[in-house]
Amino acid sequence: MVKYVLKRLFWALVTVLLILFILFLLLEFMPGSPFNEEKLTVDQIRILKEHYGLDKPFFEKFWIFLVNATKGDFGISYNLQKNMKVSQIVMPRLWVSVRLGLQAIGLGSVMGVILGVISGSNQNNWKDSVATIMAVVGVSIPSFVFALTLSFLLGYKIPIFSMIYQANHPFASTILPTISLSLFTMAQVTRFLRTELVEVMDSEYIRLATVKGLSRIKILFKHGFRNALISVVTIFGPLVVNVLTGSLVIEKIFSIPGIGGLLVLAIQSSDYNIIVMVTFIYSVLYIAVNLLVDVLYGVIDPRIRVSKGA
Amino acid sequence: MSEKEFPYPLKSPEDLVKEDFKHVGYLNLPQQEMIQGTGISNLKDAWLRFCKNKGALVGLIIILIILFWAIIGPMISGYRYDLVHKGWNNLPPKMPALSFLFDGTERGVDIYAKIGVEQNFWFGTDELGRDLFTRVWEGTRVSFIIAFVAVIIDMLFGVTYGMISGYFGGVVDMVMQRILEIINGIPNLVVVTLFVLVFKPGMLTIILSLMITGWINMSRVVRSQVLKYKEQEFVLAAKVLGANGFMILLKEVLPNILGQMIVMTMFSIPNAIFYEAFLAFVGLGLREPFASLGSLINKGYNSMLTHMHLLLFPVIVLALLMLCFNLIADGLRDAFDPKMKGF
Amino acid sequence: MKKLRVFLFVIVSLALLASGCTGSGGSSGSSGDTTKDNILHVAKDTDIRSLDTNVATDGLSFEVIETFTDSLLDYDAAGNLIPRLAESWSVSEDGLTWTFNLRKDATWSNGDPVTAHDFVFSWRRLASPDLASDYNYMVSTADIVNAAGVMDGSLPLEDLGVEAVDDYTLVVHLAHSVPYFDQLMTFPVFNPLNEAFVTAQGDNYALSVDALLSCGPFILTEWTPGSGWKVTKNPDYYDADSIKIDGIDFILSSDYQASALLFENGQVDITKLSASLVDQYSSNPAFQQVPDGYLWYLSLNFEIHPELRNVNLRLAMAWAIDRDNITQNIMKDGSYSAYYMIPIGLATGPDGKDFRDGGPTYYGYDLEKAKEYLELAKAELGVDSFTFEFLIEDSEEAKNNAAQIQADLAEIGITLEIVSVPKSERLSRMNKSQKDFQIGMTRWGPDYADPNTYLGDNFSAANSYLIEFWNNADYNACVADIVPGGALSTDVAARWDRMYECEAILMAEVPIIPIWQSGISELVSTRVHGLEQHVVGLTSYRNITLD
Repeated sequence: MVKYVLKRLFWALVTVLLILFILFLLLEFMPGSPFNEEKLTVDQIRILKEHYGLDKPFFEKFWIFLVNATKGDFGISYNLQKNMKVSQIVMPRLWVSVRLGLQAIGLGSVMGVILGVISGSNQNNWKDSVATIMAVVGVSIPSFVFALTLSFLLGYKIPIFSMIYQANHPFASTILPTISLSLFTMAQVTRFLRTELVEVMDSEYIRLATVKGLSRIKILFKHGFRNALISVVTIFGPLVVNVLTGSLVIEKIFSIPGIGGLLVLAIQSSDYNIIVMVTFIYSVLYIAVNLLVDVLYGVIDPRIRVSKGA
Repeated sequence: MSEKEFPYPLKSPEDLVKEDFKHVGYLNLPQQEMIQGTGISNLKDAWLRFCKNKGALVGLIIILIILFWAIIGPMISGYRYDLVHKGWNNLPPKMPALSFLFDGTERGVDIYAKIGVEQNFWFGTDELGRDLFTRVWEGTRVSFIIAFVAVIIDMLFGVTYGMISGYFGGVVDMVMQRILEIINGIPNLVVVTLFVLVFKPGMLTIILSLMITGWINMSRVVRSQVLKYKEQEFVLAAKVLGANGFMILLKEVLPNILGQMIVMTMFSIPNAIFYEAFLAFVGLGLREPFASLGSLINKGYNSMLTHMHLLLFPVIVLALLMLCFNLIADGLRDAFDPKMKGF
Repeated sequence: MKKLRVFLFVIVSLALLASGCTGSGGSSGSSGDTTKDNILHVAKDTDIRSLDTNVATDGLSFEVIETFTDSLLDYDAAGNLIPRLAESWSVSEDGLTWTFNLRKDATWSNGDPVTAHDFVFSWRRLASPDLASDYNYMVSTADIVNAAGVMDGSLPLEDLGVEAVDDYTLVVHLAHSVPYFDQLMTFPVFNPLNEAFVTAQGDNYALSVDALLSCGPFILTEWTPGSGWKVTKNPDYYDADSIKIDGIDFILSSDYQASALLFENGQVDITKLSASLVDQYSSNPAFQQVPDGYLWYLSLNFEIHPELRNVNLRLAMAWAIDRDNITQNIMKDGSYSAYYMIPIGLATGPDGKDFRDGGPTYYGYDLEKAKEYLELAKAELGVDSFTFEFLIEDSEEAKNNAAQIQADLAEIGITLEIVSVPKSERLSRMNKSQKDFQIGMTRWGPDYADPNTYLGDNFSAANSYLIEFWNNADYNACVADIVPGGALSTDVAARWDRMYECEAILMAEVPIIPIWQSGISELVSTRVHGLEQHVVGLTSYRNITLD
């Protein structure tokens, strides 16, 4: 296992390098430039590019970036927060996003597991239907509609919760966005858990356990749940990364200084260094979560050996 | 089976070599025929089971109704989707048949009477005064196409990729998963923005964008399922019997993971439709004056507190579509699930 | 227990969804002013991009900078020039030397006095190629001696024509007479900087609230990028007695609907409105509309489509677009239909009247006329149909208006294919070095309160491709008279009349097709008095009082 993880870590490094290289290549061809004010003259644009080192050949730019990045320096912003170190812009927002994401995943998966278990163990009766409908509603309603409705009802009509993010109350002011963001996680977890549970509960070993006279709860949690987790863990990986890296619309509605809106803004205004750093964080997270998921497969279901070939 | 009838000379297990085993093929197995004893074909069997599932049937019917409207709606509305009515912007919905709900009033004022509009716009009009009814059904057409494309992409790319990666494992899996991570690591928006350099914004751009990442989640799920099943006894058995990898995947693994696949497909449909809305949001979706459910919802959202109808109708259609696709998914999964057979 | 909780959750969620579908339409209710503190709360839709006076480029950044630093001159509520850091100022007979006498009681927030040297340092820094400021061309717009040489690095910074005669006398030497030079002195890029402090901060200058000095009515005390910022009253400000509020709390909220709800909750006093919200709030006592200086127009690429050189085709398009429909029915935000080139409220003439008040409106919306012109164009060009690609940015406003323009032109048989791209890409494609568009919808905002910011800078200067496409001798001659150093640059009245002639040439030829002048719709709580907004100058919060 240790050898496997080490090997994966090596490959992770290669992958991240490749991602950054391809990203640099794509950015080279991207239309738009950070310096495109209507009023800039051609000469001025040339001077600006020179000043920020954007006129250098591609490989030189990439090499300079790599050298600086190993020192933790991702360059400066060209126009979103002009001349500020990119890490100073990205890191505070990352923490906001991660914090909100963890809250949402926590809430979403707890609700999802509860609903999934209810649904999967009460197949085809009313409890199943209610849980299923909730899960379907969760994926059917666009998150911004749900978020703005929540904000309207619980922020404005009945002002219980804060409608916008407040940096000095990071928990109290993110209750509504947490609920909005957890909806999709909840729905996904419920659906997959239900599907798996239905299948698992139908298998021989569960029947054996039933015949042995074990209680329903015990069967469900000791035998069924663990086996159903495998598919949940799989979708959980990408889900975690998506939620952690922020949601453009939720951030917009609740004025949350998160990383999702930052990336879109950076792409739209060609603020290359921010794009690169956010991408770097995102891919490291994604790769790490994937690795974790693969390792977890083995822990949850000892029959699975990812490291072994066919 | 008694030892006497055994046709081959007995060997001790250590002496067995590969040539001692021969794959006899699937059709030659007598047990296979016994299961199919009822004489109903697999498809017909599944269909019967599907019809027994009321939820799925309702879902199918509603989807057919929506499809019907998507085809008929723009024809019977009497307006083209790009016909602007100057001065009739943001008219609220007015349906004579449902006048207790939609009577053409907004915040208590009958807008139709106020500006002297005699026609009835069932879903109201949008910010340019275009008939929303026509636009919603035009948009539904687009969403159906996107849903269809998303399913095809999921099935072609996602399933194949996940199966190969999961089944062959080792180096193959390692390389294939790293490729996935690379594709997933690069921000989608960067790639899609580049497409606009080559293609004009439109259906082709949307489809190509879906092809980049739309299938990744499916392939992850399929891979995890394959990982789970490939170690199980019946796969081992087929392997021992000499079936090749392709046959094992097709005949042994695929039927078992069909349920998960269908559920995942149903998730990728809303994802694809929302993704289209996102593209519309960043200017890479359909061009004006064309409409899609995604772009309508995006626009409607901006008027959610003022002109509810701009959001309400496209969201209802979208939500209904999602709901029904999910119900159908449930029905299909139960219908195809081999383990349910014989009960 | 668990079941009960789940059940409750289900019920609550369904109730939420149900009520959300029916209940969210109404309620334009009261503008409940629950905030009774002496702090102004403002919702903003964009974040600060730079706090460095010399580096900032966008209106919002300048608005913030102007809260904590003072300029030489400023506008009062009515738009007249008034002194700030300058106590008095004068210009030489030939218009080439400007002298500013600074007030002696202004101090930086570290206790240093604000002196003429601070201006010299700031202006040299602005022009310096090492800083590479986007706005350094303001130095050449102001036509300060040796601006070009200093900006491209061929001359030392010390050669720039600005000097501190003594601590409180600033003298500026111009290469040509610039009739509107005093107007430029309200622009924050020319604000002073404390050399010792800026040098000590180095690369960190203006990147955080601690790396800033204040010499204005407020001090920036808090800035959370992506979330908001706060300014508090500067107790050491020379005019502190006239500042009646304790501070301003800016909340960043890019969603207008969310901002409107905040307003109704009384959490903000001022917020902008989107077009659809205007319907809901237009009868609210807090509702206000003010003109903005941006002129939106269609830019035509004569190179890709030579038929656009045909004036009748251009006139056909100009007459076929129903601008009133766009501004009144679609945007509804107080925008004006632009049947002119120089915006309303931009500049006040020698007679004290707005440029637009004295000027004619050129054409209108008339389909018959448009069709006549189009027939002429078809005959002259020998072409039967016209199809153009129409490049726009992907904002909601641009998309709606473009679709309407598309429908309008389709009426007379001109086909537009809309291509919407992110703004950054639109700007790049419409940049002079690329010119990768056929018809593009773009805008121009004024830098100073003089029509030359359009006539001279946008439509004929080196950064405009119009001069390549449409090199009109009459127009060039006309503009040559009104630009700095031109024949009429010291004769204010004659210059003013000449500018009407320049505009008339543009309107007769329509090398670009103006569509609308933007306006701002906003909610300003009835407890707020004294908010000053200008078409060219920045929004000023200094005279605000709160009930």
